[in-house]
Parts: sequence; structure tokens; C-alpha cells
Amino acid sequence: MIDRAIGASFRDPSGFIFEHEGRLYRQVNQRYREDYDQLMNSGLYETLTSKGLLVAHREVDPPGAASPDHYKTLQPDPIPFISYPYEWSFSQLKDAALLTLRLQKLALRHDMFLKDATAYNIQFHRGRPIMIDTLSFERYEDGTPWVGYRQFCQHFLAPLALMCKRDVRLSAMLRTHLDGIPLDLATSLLPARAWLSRALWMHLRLHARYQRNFEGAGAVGKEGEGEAPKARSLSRAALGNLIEDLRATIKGLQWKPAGTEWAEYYSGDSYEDDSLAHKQDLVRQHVKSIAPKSVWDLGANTGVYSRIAAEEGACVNAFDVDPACVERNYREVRKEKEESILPLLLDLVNPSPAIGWAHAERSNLAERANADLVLALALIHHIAISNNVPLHNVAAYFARLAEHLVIEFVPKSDPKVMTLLATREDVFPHYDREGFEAAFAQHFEILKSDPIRNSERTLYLLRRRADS
Amino acid sequence: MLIQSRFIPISCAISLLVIAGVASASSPAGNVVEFQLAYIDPGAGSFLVQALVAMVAGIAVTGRVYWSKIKSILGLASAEEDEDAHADDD
Repeated sequence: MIDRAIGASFRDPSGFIFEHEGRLYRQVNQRYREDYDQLMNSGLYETLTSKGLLVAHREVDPPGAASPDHYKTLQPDPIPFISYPYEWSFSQLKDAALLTLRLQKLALRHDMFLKDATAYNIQFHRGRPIMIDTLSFERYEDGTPWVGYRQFCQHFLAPLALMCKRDVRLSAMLRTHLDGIPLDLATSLLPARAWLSRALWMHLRLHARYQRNFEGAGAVGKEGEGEAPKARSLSRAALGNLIEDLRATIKGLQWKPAGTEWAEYYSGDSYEDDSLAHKQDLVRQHVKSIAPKSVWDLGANTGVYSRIAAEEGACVNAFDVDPACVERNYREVRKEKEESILPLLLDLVNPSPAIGWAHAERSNLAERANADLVLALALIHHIAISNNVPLHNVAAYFARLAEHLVIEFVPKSDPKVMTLLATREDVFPHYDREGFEAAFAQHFEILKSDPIRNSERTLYLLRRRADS
Repeated sequence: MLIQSRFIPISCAISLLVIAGVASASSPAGNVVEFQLAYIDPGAGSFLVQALVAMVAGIAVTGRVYWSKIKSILGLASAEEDEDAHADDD
């Protein structure tokens, strides 16, 4: 029954995702029967799962009472952490787009195609994008135009073009536009030089014009011209060309991760070599002693400490507010084929909210918290001083995220903080070690504290209080 | 003269648009294709533009293939082998 569906899984009549006793299941409805059978029998499922492009599943008995719609129940391999397109860097969105097109191309070989092309069908797992919506594949009939073309342009092509040709921060528009960026809006924001590309001109600008001219209310025709245009047929070869053109266009969009505030952090002289080595040592020791399965590295920059945690066997989400840092981190993951690190974009003082119908389609960040350990290194001064968040509030929020916390206190005597305070009133009388320890003691107990050699900073290992 | 698919002047593209507009106006109504399971709104405009876009894409795709053939005949190093294009050519 659709009212058991979780998250955004209520639109597709072919089936839905639901949870039962902590496990995730997907119900396949009767109306999808023939398509599901073709997916499984034609070899497409085999091909996609063996290449690691589609989440594998097992067929199981329905847990609890099955509805009359029910055809099969699937238990998909779980994805440890769900992330959303507005949390991805440029290359993550680009790779998700390329995967979608690759799926479409492979599907056509088995007489199937993607009935939607939403970025929410893709997740990141073991360092690479993977398709999670098994029921997105529909039987293909020669001549059918691609139903997912509009969605592909809005979810992938428009935001990628905006990110590389206008400003990389425009990916945030995906938060307010759940079904991708409207093409007329993207068109109005792109600079004139974008239209030198024939492909962008056709897939975005021309596409937007056709949408405006033929979409219901906009098409105010003369009296008697009311006949609705019917879908033209599109040959398989033409569809193949369309897909290939989109692929080459997406591939050609490039963005250089530089020129943002934090991109050059480690090349500056914020650290003595000695303190860096000591800090890395301490972090490694703490991670070893906790042995977490999953770690959140807040303010991860390019992932130096995320990699330390990953080396000790954890799965790490490496969050940072700077798109260039997330991008560099992801490129490193891709190049080294790392499987334990997921770089993501996050502004900690304004984290991803819950959005969609009834505030429940895409969940907020804290709801997805699954970490055993949070790293908050070289971070507290940005939250408490630059953003005026009281230390008590920071402690309370971190306590929601994980049981253990490794946090670096950066005092006013540190050169970085002196810079922050140089141009503003010092309205932080309690921002010192005693104040820090008092604020955090309300939610955590201090297991260890070590001054970092050759610096003014202190590294803490904290454990959340049982009553917190 | 090779078709540089990236930089067809706007005037060329507009004339293509006019041709397509005339062609679609004069031909009989296209096939009505039925969609059983596609639940999202594909967009009427998106359907109509696909035929045109796919036609031009076909020219562009062919152009790219010939352009890289010419490049290899002339011995020009092809910039960054596009492995994605051939990832599934089993």
C-alpha cells in the first residue's frame, strides 16, 4: 500500500520502497510485472549488476500482509548513507549524469529504457555512482520518444552547465527545485557564451522555448487552433544519437576546482610541520581506540583526516562547505579507486533541511546521522566565532550526530582566530578552554585531552553522556 | 568544409528550426504513442523537440566520428581518449 512507502517513494505506480523491522524492501506491483520479468530475464539485470551499475537485490517473501497489487517483494542491497544531488560536487553530479546515460544505452540493447531520469535515482556507494531504482526500467517499443528527456535536462544538464559556466554554487538551486532546474530559468541565468555550444543551445534554450510554446496554459492559440500536438515517433537510431549527443555534451563540461576560499588551505602556513604530524598521530590513535564503523569528518577540506580514519577501517563521510575541496576530494577518491570515502558538500551552520511533500521526501542531515565518531578538526572557531553560535549549542548539535567526538579547540591566541577577531568586536568572553570544556561537559565526558605540539590548540576525545 | 559541431552559427540553427517547423506543420499528425507505466510528466514540448534535436545530434555525432578519423589519419594526437564512449562496446 502506498501509504507504507517511505520518503519520496509514493509517485511510481510500479512499486515502492518501505521499511519493516529496520530492513528496507521494495514492493513490485502487478502492473510492472512484464517489465520486471523482462528486466530479469533479458540479461539486463545481470549486465548492470555485474558492472556495478545497479543495486542488486534478492526476491523475498513479503514481510507482513501483502496488498492485492503485490507481485513481488525485493530486498535490495542497502546503501549505508543516502545523499542528495544538492550535496554533491560538480564531478559527482557529472558522473551521475554519465551513469544515467550509460544505463539508458545498455537498457536499449535489451529492449528496455529508463522511464525517468531523476538524479535521485543515483546514490554513491564504494566511491562511485550506482542506480538504486530497479523499477525505472520499462519495456521499449521502437518509435517511442524518451519520456525522461525533460527530466534529464533539468536534473543534470542544466545544473552542470550553470555550475561550470556561471557559478559552481548554483547547484544549491537543486534544493529548491525538486524536479531539477526549470529550463527557462537555467536559460535566463546562463551567460551568452554558453550559447556558442550548439548542444547546450538545443538541449536547454530551444528545449525551453518548445516547452513554453506547447505546455498547456502558455499556448494561447488563435480560435480553432486548439488541437494538442501529439507525440512524434522517434526511431531507435535517432534516440541513440540523442543519448550519445547528451553524453558528449556532459563529458565536455569542465570545472576547475580553484579560486574558492578554502582550496589552498594546506599550502598556506597555518601549521608547523611538527604540529601537523602530532595532530595526525593523535587522531589516528583516537580512531584506533574507538574502532568506529562509520565516521563523519566535518570540515574535512580535501580529506587528510578522512583518509586516516579510512585507513583504520572506517567508512567516512567527508563533509565540507567549499565546493572546490569536495571536488578535489572526490577526484582523489575516483583516481585512487577508494571505496571508503564519500565527499559531500555541507554548510554546517545551514545543513540540508527536510524538503518535498509534507517535509518528508528528502530528509534533513541529522535524520541521516549514522556515525559512530565525528571529527571536528580546525572547525570550532568558524562556528563559534565567525558564525556566532554559542558553544553550548554546538555541543548539543554534535551530541545528536554521534556517540564519540574528536574535536580540536582553537583558542583566541591562535593566529587563525586572531585574524578572525582582528576586524570585529570580541563578544566572546567564554570562548576559552574552560568555557569550551564547561559547554561540552553538559553533553559529553572528556576521555582524553592533549595539547598539540608547537601550537596553542588542544585535541579532545569526547564520549556522549548516556543521559544526553 | 568540416562541420564543427560546436559552433554552427545561430543563423544556421534558426534555418533548421524553420525547416523543421514547416515540415511538422505540413505532415499529418504523428503517431500517438501510448505510455503505460511512465508516470512522470514528459512534457509535450520535450517530446516535440526531441525529433529535431535527435536529427541534429545525428549530424553532430557523425561529424565527431569523421573528425577523429581525420585526426588519426593526419597523425594528430587525439586529445584524451574518450573511454566512456567505448566503455560498453563488448
